[in-house]
Amino acid sequence: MALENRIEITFESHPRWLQHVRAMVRSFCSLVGFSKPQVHAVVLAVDEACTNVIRHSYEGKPRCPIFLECESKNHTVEFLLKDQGPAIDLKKIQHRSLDDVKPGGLGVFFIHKAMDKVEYKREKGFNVLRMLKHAKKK
Amino acid sequence: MPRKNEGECTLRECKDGWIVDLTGEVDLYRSGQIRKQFEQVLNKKPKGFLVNLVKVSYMDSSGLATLIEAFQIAKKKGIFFGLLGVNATLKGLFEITHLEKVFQIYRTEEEALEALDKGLPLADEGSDLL
Repeated sequence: MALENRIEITFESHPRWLQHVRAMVRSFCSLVGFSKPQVHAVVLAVDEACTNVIRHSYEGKPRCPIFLECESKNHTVEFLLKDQGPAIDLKKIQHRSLDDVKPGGLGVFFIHKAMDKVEYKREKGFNVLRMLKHAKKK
Repeated sequence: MPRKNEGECTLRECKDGWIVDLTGEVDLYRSGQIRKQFEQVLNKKPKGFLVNLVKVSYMDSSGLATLIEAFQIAKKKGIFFGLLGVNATLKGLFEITHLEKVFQIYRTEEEALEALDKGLPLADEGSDLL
């Protein structure tokens, strides 16, 4: 594993950190060659995933740890987002119909729209969200 | 660590209502406060409520939820609701979420004020989406 293609951060479950997480993800995706629209979509997806951890997994509690790993391999970026909240009910992770216009329910939609692969699992006391994105030619 | 380029939510009263100038990144950290400011203005039942997004560099789903909520309150109260200055990034967001069919979007403040002056349309009164 080439360390220069990998970054890992841990931050508290407070929304004030989201701006800094986005800046890091934006920078990482730009470095590995994503186009500008791809960068925006991926930053939004990771941001939404972190927001979901803060709001749903930790229920707004601000001092819980969130772990984010980003790794680039063969023109693909993998994001692993982990938290120590209660096991999530996978049936509840759904976005609303786009025609059912109401506040909320779009975060999961943005994640699936941006990423090529999205997987949730429970592992050793962690909720783990794995997101993969392949870089396309600019 | 403090946040940088926090962005602002500034309210301006105009002849027939209020214009809100939003700037910077609108995310979970800011959307709650912005929602409160929107509600304060909408509770005054102005004729019109316009949100200027020209200096918004980023918006997440909580920001979109804030706009949808304001739109729905405006619709219920019979308040003219419009967005203006929607840049390419936000336009893309509105398109993929089909919200461009819901919101009245104006290119400039002048266009929005002209529509407000004419009194039409109110918040998406012709739509069957809500």
